[in-house]
Amino acid sequence: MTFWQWLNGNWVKVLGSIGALNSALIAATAGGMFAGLVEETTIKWLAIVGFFMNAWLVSVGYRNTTQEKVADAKAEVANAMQTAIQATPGTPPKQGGFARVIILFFLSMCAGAMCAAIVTGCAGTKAAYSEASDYLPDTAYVVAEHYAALVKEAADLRQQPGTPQSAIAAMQAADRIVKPFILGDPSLNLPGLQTLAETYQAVKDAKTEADLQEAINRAVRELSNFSKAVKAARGRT
Amino acid sequence: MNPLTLALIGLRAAALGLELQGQQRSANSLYALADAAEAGKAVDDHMNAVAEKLKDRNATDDDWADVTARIEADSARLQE
Repeated sequence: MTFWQWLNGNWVKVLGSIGALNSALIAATAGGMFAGLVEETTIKWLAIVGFFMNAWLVSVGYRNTTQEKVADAKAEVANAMQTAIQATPGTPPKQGGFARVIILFFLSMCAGAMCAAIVTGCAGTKAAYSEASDYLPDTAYVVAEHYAALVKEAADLRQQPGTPQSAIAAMQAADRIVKPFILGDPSLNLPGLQTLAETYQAVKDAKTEADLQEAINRAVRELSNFSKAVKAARGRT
Repeated sequence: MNPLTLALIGLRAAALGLELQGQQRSANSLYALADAAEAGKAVDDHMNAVAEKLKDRNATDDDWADVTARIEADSARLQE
């Protein structure tokens, strides 16, 4: 590489160094380092020339940087276009099995976890019914909460765009059947679970207990059908 | 960690991996499976919270009023 070639590639650095040296010289002169050697008027002119020279250097450096960025971007675009042209259309990029190993790892992890989940499945629901099993009004309340959780899920599924109309209709039909058994229906002269639970708590005799137990049994039966409809819709979404 | 939560993380991660590989159909199947499992998990989590509440006390009138209001609102949303 000749000196001129080197200078062509590094001229901004050279001018920058000269500018920095000039600034140092101005600062040293203004600080009195050359007092008596240089006249005051010369110092002023040196400062003015130095200011314009540095301003010009900053401008050149900025333009140079912008030009380099534009050139880099052009080269990158050209490179990307070449790669896109060379790629065979319709063929997915090959990978060396690395991604497959990761996917297999996650699938095996979730298969194991699914097995564990099935084994311990519905643990919360079982816990709630088990917790309420000693006190009949609490069992009635747990049935109502179970229905509330399922009907919320059914309503969410109803609003999901992918849920088939037949699945929605099945959930709506099951809901219309189970709801009166939970909340009661005056038109059918059917008391709700809360009313029966309150009656039992007030009287606490064998009849009110039997009424409540029977109502819970009926509600659980219909709730089971509703749960099946929701699960079916869940699977078809 | 709950095994179902682990399963959901695994399913979604595998679905994402398949999606990044361009296998959209397989990815969609896994996402649907994860959604279904997650929906079942929401019911079970809710019932777990009910079990925790009943450990401390019996159901009150306020509990009944709350659950009745939720049922009415969600049932109306389902039937609309």
